[in-house]
Amino acid sequence: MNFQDIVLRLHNFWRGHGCLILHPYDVETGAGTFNPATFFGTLGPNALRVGYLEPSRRPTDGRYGKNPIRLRLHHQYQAVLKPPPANIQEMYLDSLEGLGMNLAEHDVKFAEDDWESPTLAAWGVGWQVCLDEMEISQFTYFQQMAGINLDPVSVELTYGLERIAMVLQGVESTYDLRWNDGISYGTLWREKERQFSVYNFESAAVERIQKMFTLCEEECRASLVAGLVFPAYDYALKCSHLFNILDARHAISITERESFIARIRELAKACAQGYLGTGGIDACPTT
Amino acid sequence: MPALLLEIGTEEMPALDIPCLAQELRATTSKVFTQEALSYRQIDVYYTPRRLAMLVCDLKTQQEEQVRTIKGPPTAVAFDSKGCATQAGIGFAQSQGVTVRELGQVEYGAKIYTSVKRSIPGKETSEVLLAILPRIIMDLHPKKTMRWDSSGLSFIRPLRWLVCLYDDKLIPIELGHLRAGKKTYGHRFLEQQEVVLDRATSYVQTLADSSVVVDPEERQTMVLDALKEQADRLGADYLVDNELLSRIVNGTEHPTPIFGSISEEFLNLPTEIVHATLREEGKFVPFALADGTSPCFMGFRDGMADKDGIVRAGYERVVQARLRDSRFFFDRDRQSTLAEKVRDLHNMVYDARLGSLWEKVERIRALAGAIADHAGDGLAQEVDRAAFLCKADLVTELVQAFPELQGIAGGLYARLDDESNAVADAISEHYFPISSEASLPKSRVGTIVGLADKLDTVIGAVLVGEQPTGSRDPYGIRRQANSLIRLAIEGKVDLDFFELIESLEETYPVIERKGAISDVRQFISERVAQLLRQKYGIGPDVVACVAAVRGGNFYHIFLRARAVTTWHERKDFHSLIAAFSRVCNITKNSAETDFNPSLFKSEAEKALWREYLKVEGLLTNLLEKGNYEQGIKLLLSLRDPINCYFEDVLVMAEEVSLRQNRLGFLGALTGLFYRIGDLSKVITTSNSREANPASAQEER
Repeated sequence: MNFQDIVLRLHNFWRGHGCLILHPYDVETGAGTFNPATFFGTLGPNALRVGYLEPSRRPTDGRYGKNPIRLRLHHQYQAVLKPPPANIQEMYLDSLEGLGMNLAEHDVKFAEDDWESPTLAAWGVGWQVCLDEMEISQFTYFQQMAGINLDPVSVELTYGLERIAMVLQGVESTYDLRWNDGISYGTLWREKERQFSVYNFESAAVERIQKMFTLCEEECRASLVAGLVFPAYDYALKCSHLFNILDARHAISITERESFIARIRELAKACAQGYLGTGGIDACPTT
Repeated sequence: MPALLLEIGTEEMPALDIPCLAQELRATTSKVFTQEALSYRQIDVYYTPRRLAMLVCDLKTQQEEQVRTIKGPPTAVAFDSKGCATQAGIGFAQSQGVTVRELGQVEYGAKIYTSVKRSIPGKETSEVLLAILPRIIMDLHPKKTMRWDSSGLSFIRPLRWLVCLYDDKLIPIELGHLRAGKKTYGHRFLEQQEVVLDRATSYVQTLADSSVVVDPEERQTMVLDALKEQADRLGADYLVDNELLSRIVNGTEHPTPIFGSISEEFLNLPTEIVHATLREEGKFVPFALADGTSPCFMGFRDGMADKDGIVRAGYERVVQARLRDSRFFFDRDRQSTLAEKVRDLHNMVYDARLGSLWEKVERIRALAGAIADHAGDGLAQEVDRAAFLCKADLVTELVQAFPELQGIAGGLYARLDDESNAVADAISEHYFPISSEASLPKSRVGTIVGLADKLDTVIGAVLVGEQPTGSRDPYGIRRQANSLIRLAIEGKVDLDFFELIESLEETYPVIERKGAISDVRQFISERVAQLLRQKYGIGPDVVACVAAVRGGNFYHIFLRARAVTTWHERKDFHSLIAAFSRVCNITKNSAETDFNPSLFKSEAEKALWREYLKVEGLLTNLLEKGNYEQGIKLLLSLRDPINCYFEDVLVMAEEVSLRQNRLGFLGALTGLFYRIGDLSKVITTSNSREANPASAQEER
């Protein structure tokens, strides 16, 4: 099964379970959790079921296109269900079978891996799901988002699509994956991985990025003052991404690190409070 | 007799937390069953990641009869002075349906009351279980809990089913949205997972038939047998510690060994890195071959045999990718030398109040240098180099990826940088011992750098006010201090650390001080006393004896304690203690130690003075060599002269100058004994009856 078919099958599977099928967010994110559909959607009392693809940028994970499984940008498929159905684990395993995996032939483990995002002031309890000891998904019951206790809680299923595709296609390297039947993952992404690795590790202009961070932070705060939580959140996302670049550049000392994270966290919390306070709940997708 | 089965079905619980939770379930059940007068023979607990279960064997079908005492009016009110029942007494008896003569008495808060004993017949066990089992489950305290649905329950992971059978009878307990049934679930890989249990006692077998080994000990045997068998076949060692073993045993319902090989391209990677990579997150057990290579590993599939090698291929692919990652870190680290990395320590904060790691390294160098001056065996240069490099690996990618490689990675890189073996070994070993039972550094340089590192951690933490209180010990300095003392004692480091600390006090920043050097001394002295008792098996009285003389030469404190312990049971020593105690008693309120021998009058006084002179000189020589046992033997020669002295000499003479002279002499004599310790604190079979309770209290 090629890469794009996997995405389409997951869309179909979760659509069948009542999920609203959305699209990747068009601001850089480090994980599907940062997509506003999840960040705002998990807040408040309304039920939620969504599924979407999310390209996730993690500058420190870049390997110049040379490591078979570690990537600066990988693709997550994300399903969020609020409240979580009682058979959610079976549902998840069904979705893997739906991708043509015969789970009886593999070793499937739910290994403890509680999730925490200091920048989003969010945490949850759950596992990394391992297929033959390769982590293919993160499975999390969110308990808090933006410092707010969630009630009801949400469950987030995050599929690492490259890893899953490697199992399905039986290849040793991400770059050997078939995106469709004619074009390989390597053709599409290897040069981008190389260039971004050079950029993130060696070339990004630290001072400029730091300035951009400050500008985005100011813009976020200004938008919050104006009561515009969604634009504000976009700039919080930008701050998070710029921070990740500085981190990859080793431009942040340990003390500064804490304070950078705290600055982003304050923005995220303010966005969430603004959202809950301004009747933003009515705007969130429900099913 | 019937048995009770309770199975709590969950989503996968964290492997390392399950054993604790199971023990808690057993303990809580035992406590509550006793309170509820439910009698049983024993409780067996079983667990896997997906279930926590217990089988209560021979549980009686009825509660024991309980006797309750009902309190009436005070006896003095219920009966008049002639012993006749008053209206109150009669009323109480009537209300309880007994005659006045059947009223008993009960004492309650120093007053006597009338009472009636009422026996309450036991309820049916199944009825009691219905009420108490949900409470027992909810009383468990997992380390971390979560919510998952609208029931408001919180537990370690979502609860998904309950089975509760009393023999073959269903006890339909309820918890949140769940109601217990007879249905449980076999292994996830089975087509037909649902299994109906018809008897409590068939639990273990029924689940075994469904590919779930519920007994953790059995799973452990399966895992260890597989490792041993493979190791024997290869003539290799398998490297598994308790944590890794527990992760495997408690992370699977049916562990099946999968043996895998490592691609040859990684055989030139240092084995420490290969091992750390394999063990990461508790996944694979490395095998170490006799030739020093580690070309293979074992993982444990949760399920049955891997007939087509699909799982094996998957494991090998993962290992390959991870090793490639490790090699990436290794290659990047090797782009600069360890010495060059030291300057990056400027950017790493050790503690906001104590500065960067660079500053810590500077302090370690100062401390290590001072220690090496006294106990360095001419290795001062190596000590300084190792101290300079010892923290540099904290900035490496390798240590950031595998924190447990701290020290080890540094040693590895130092060797590759052509640092001397002494320096490289010292870097590897300077964190030792990593636990109270773990081994100490083998090298002298490693011992000295380790001492300096731990000393700095303790001094720094105490000075900024992070002394441990109760269970709070943010810097883990109790353990650090214990390691420090062990290093000094077992490394035979003959050095007064308190003098050293004082001479280097100015190396510590003064701005944020919340503690003083005297607090450091106090804290470490307490640890010394505790370690002597707990680790070295020294009796509390002996510890009190040697601790009475404060000092920072831990090795010598230990030697003194050991010498006193050796003499502890000897009668002649007991008589020496008795003699010394007489000296002590008379000088305890005097600080005088000056005296003039020309004022000595009686023969006994002069005899003791002569013996004192002789002993003092010899003792000084012996103790410098740490020979405290001979020292005590020497002191024995003072016993008879002391006893004669007290028979002949009136210390508290009327004439002031005479009295002061005698007190001064005895004060000096006390000082001589104090080079061993305060022997009057030693409790022997001869003095235990009159032992001073205050001394026992003092050392706690």
